[in-house]
Amino acid sequence: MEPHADDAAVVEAILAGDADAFRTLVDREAAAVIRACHRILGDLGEAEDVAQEAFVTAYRSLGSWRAEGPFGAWLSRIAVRLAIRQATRRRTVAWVSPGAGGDGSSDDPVARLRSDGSADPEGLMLRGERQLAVRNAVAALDEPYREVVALRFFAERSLDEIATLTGRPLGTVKTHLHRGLIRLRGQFAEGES
Amino acid sequence: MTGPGSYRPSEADGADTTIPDSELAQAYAAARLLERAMPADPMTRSGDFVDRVMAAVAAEPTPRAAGFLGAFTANPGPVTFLASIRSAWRTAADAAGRPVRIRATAMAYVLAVLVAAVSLTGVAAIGTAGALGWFQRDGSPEPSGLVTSPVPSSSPSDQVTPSGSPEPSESAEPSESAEPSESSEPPGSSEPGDTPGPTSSRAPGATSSPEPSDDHGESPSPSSSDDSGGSGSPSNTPRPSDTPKPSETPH
Repeated sequence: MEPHADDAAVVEAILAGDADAFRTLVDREAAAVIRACHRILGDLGEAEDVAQEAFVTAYRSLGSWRAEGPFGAWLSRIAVRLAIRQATRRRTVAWVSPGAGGDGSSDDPVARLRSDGSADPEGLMLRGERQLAVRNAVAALDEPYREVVALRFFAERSLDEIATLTGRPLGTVKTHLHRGLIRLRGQFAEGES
Repeated sequence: MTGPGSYRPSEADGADTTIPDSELAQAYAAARLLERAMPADPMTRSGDFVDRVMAAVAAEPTPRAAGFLGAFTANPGPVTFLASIRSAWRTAADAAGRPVRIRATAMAYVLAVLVAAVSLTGVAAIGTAGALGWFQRDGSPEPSGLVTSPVPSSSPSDQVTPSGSPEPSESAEPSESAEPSESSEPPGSSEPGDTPGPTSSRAPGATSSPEPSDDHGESPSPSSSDDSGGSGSPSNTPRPSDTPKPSETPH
C-alpha cells in the first residue's frame, strides 16, 4: 500500500472517531518531527515540547489534510513553523553558568566538558555559538524563503514535497530556496566580518 | 522515505529565474555552512513521548472534516446546512490569509444557495398568489349577467370557488391560470370543451377569454383533469347548475 494511502486510511479512521489510530501516526513521525525541532531550537527538551504541540495542532486540523502528499510532510510544516516561532520568541543569548547544571544534560556544554574530558572547551563553545547564529539567521529570513529553507534543511523534505505543501510550482520553490540561501550567505558574511 | 540529502547546486535547475554561476556558488557555500552548523541529531527521544502526545490528544474533541461543507457532508441536515452557509460566508468575507480560489468557491456556494432560495421563494409566492386569486383581481371577465354561480357561491369575487372546482386549493400554477381553457374541469362538469371555469365561475362565456391575467383561480388544475381539451366555445360553457349531480334528480 502506498504511504499516502496508508496515511489517508488512518486519518479517515481518526475522523470517524477512532482517536487511538492517531498513535500510529505519532509512532511513525515522532523521530522526524523531534529531529526537525531540535535542529531549529538546539535543545532536546524544548524540541519535544514543540513537537508535542505540533502533533496536537495536527490532530485538531486533521480534517484539513488533503492527502496530496505524505502526512509527515504536512506535519513537518506545522512543526517547523512552531519551532521557528518558538526560536524567535526566546532570548537569543543563553547564559551558561559554569557552576550550574552538572546534571549531565547533553545540552549543557559545561556538563559535557565534565563528562567528556577530551572535548575542546573552546571548540564546543564556538560550535554552539555558530549553531545559534545559523538558527537565528534562518529565523530572521523573510517569508517565503524562511519556510522553504527550514523545510529543506531542518525537516529534510524534498523540493517536490515542499512544492505540494506550499501549493507553489516547483520552479518557484527552487527560486525561493536559492534566494534564501543567498540571503543567508550574506548574513553569514556579515557575521564573520 | 529518505530525505533529499546534502544540498547540491543542481537543485536549482529548473528555477523560475536564470541563476548565474556566481550565485550558485554562493548558495552552495551557504548550504554547506548551514548543514555543518546543525546540531547532532538526538539519538533517542523520551520514552513516554508518544504517551504524552496521546494524553494531550485525548482531551481534544474528535476532529471533523474541514471546509465550509465539512460538517454538512459529515452530518447532512438543516442545521448543518445553515451552518455551512454561515461558514462559507465567513470564508468568503475573510480577506486575510485565505487563497482567492477558496474564497471564490465559498462565495459561489453562498450565491448558489441564495439564487436557489430566491427562485423557490418566487415560485412559491407566485403560486400562492395564483391560488388565492390575486392575479385576477379585476378580473376580466366578469360578465355580470352571466355569472352563473354554480351552486356554491355566486359572488363574483369568489373567484376560486373551492367547492366547485376539483381541487381548488391545489393549484398554484400561475401559468395555468393564464389559460382558462385548460383549467381543471370540475369533475362533473362534463363538457370538456369548455370552460375554464370550473363551476364557480363566472361567466363561462366570458371566461373563456383567456386573458393571461385572468386567472379565475380555478386554476387549481387538478393535474389529473387537466384537460387541455380546451376551451371550445365559451358559449357552451356549461352552467354549473347543469352539471349533473347525483343528487339532482330531475324530478
